Amino acid sequence: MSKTIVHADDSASVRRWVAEQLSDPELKVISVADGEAALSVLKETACDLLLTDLEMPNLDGLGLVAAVRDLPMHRFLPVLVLSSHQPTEYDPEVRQGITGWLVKPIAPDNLRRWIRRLLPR
Amino acid sequence: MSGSSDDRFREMFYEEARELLISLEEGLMDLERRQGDRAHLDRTFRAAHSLKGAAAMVGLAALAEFTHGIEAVLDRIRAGTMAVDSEIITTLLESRDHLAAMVESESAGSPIPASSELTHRLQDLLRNPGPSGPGGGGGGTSAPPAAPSAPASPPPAAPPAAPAPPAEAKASASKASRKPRSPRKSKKMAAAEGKLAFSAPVGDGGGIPSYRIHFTPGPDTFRRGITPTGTFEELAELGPIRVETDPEVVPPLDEIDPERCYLSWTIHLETSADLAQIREVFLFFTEDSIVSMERRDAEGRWLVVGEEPSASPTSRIAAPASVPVAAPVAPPVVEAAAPTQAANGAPQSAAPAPRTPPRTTARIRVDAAQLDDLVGLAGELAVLSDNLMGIRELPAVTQWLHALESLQRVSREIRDTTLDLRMVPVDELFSRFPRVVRDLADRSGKEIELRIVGQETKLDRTIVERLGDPMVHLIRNAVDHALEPPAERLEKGKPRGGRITLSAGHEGDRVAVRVEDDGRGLDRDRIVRKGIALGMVAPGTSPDDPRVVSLIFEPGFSTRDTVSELSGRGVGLDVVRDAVRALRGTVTVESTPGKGTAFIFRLPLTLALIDGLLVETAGGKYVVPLAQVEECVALNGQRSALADDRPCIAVRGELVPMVSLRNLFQADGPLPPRQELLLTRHAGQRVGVAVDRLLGRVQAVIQSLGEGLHDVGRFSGATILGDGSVSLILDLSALVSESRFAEQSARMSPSTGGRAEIIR
Repeated sequence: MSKTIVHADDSASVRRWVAEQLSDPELKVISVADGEAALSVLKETACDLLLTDLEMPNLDGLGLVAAVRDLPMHRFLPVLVLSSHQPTEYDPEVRQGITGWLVKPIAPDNLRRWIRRLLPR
Repeated sequence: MSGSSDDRFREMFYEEARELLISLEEGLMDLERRQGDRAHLDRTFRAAHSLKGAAAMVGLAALAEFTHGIEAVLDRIRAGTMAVDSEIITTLLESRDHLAAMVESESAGSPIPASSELTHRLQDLLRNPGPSGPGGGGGGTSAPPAAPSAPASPPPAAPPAAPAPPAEAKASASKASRKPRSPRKSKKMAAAEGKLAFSAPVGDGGGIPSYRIHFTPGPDTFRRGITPTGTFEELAELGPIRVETDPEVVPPLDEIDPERCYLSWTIHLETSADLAQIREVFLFFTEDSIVSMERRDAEGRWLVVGEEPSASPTSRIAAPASVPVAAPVAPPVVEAAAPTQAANGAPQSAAPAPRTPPRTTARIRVDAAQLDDLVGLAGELAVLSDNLMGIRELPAVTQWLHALESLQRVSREIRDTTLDLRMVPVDELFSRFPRVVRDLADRSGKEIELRIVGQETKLDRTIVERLGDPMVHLIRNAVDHALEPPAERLEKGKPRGGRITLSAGHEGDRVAVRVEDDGRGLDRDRIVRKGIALGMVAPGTSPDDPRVVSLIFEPGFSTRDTVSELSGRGVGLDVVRDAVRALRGTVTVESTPGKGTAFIFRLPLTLALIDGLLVETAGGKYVVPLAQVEECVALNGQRSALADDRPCIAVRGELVPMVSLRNLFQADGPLPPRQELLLTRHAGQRVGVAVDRLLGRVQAVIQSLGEGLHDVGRFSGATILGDGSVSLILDLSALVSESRFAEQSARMSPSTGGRAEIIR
């Protein structure tokens, strides 16, 4: 059963990099350039995991996470933040709803490992 | 070192970096003027931030680190702890330029290091918050939101390759010190260089086989998208496992909150894996869960191992279980940036207007060379299908008529759509100039306002790319020489600040791009004197002669010492003219003494297509760009007269110098009874080019000549005609120059006419 991952990042090279790391016939990666686009994809698509950057135009990562948690179908969607910000820069309340946090630059192994864990079998 | 240093991503990164650098520059340019415009500040910050992130991801640590300095300053501005002044902007702009140089040198394969001077200056900015920063001289550490980046900003970049991560790690470490979680990274993770935010602390530990783990996930665990069962599965991979739980803690069904995690577990595990590995299994839970581990020693006693991880400090996740998930985060309001005259908003930084629905059309990048090939092919397809229409008359074809017509229509649409792909808004060019003008104004001490009009006008990509240098040239001239210093302007009753206006707009099937200033205007008296001295115009020529101003475009005219005499006009303007001609455009100048000067480029919409006249001479067919032809007249056996030893011909009473294509091509053969004369304009003077026959109008897709034929000036390209034959495109202007007419044209008596105009 193939899994769908939505990845939001305004940097095309990061999108490409992540897509490359996740190239696997079992994984379908939908890459979008901002939070708003991610949200519109998520509203219409079943999704197993959301990867998101924080600093993005239109709707930033935290706004996206908050909006996603308000969608009934994605109340329990795992959300992995990929950012060059440290989580400690944010208050814990703000980080609510975030499953995990990887700081850029991200080691490919580490990314894959988290994703393996977060995707339901 | 970190991330992937794969070249595939590098290429993509360079392209992206260039775009981000443009947004960054535009953002910085406007930062001072748009203080308090949060959306603008966010965009600017994001450009630096994205660049840093992307650079780190593709393994360009030095770049990422240098960018971090810029980002940190912007972050401080964003946090409101630093006030923007022009010194800060200048430092940021210079840093941006250096960053751009680093990107370009990196992409060229010979990376230059970060500038330590600029790194220092950026750090100094961080140390001294601007005048309105909260009175804290405290070394910048007092600013709460930006603090992590400030004190821990990178070391003075002495070793340019110093990786960014240490700085960040330091930042987080200093911040994390609130929480007593000392050894942050496991050995394995450190090796993998993944910095896990929620990673569990790691104690020292050996490998004693039997563990007992108490595991109490936070009440919000499910709401964060985690299921504890995955943890058990992963633990089971480490060794034999037994899991116990106390189901009694789950409330009765009518009281249960199904989204809350009530249970806690005790896990017995036998493994030789080290403690770090076990800890890592719980990495998703460290934020709000309690995980305690015991290890059985030789005597069978259970000893707590490692630090009691997060029992009290970290598990104080502020929210009680019933708090709605993610409630505190409100989606940020994206303000629409006020539309301004000044050019801002490169494609990606265009202000997201509230009415704009979420973008559904995606953009893709294509290779420019491939696009050009496609344009050529599409043009050929259109020509071929036009050609095919010739068989329409055959009776056997009747049943295919509909298909034929559809083919023609579709081919034309393909051609037009493809041509459109080459068009880009002239804003891509104009948006460079606020920076140029700012720098020039800074240096010259003049006050200059730049107005930009019509930046949405679209032009051929190549034209937009190549128009940059000529425009910079004109702008620099305007700032250096045409615009007066403030005092002089006031004396003349002009506003203090000079104004330069860049505008673009359609004029028929051409696009006119104007560079205007409200400065001194051209000094015609001096130009004419200089022209006479150089033998370019006849002695006694009136300064009001329309050809006079066009002299400034002549190569010999522009010498260094004319700078002051001519308000700088004429310095290298022949270069400007040549550049515009190469784009099949013209440049004209209009000037009113004391009021200002306007240079006007008139350019074709596209370089791929020309409207042309198909002519025949001595059996050969040639295409002449329609834009070069002012008029066609028939030569009814008229004989040319000689004037000043040159063949001339009377056209409606005016004596016009003539060039015969036959003579030029040294073609023999009988003259047709009636030749045609194409009238063109060269250096403000009408010139006739005689051809055998006019065959009609064509729209030609230009194919460039092969490498070996570039020196053949008289042909600017080739095209495929409807009958499939190939025809050369004539460059009338080059033809006329070639016939050595040009040098002597100035001696001809002045013709009547409007503005001086140079048509190639």
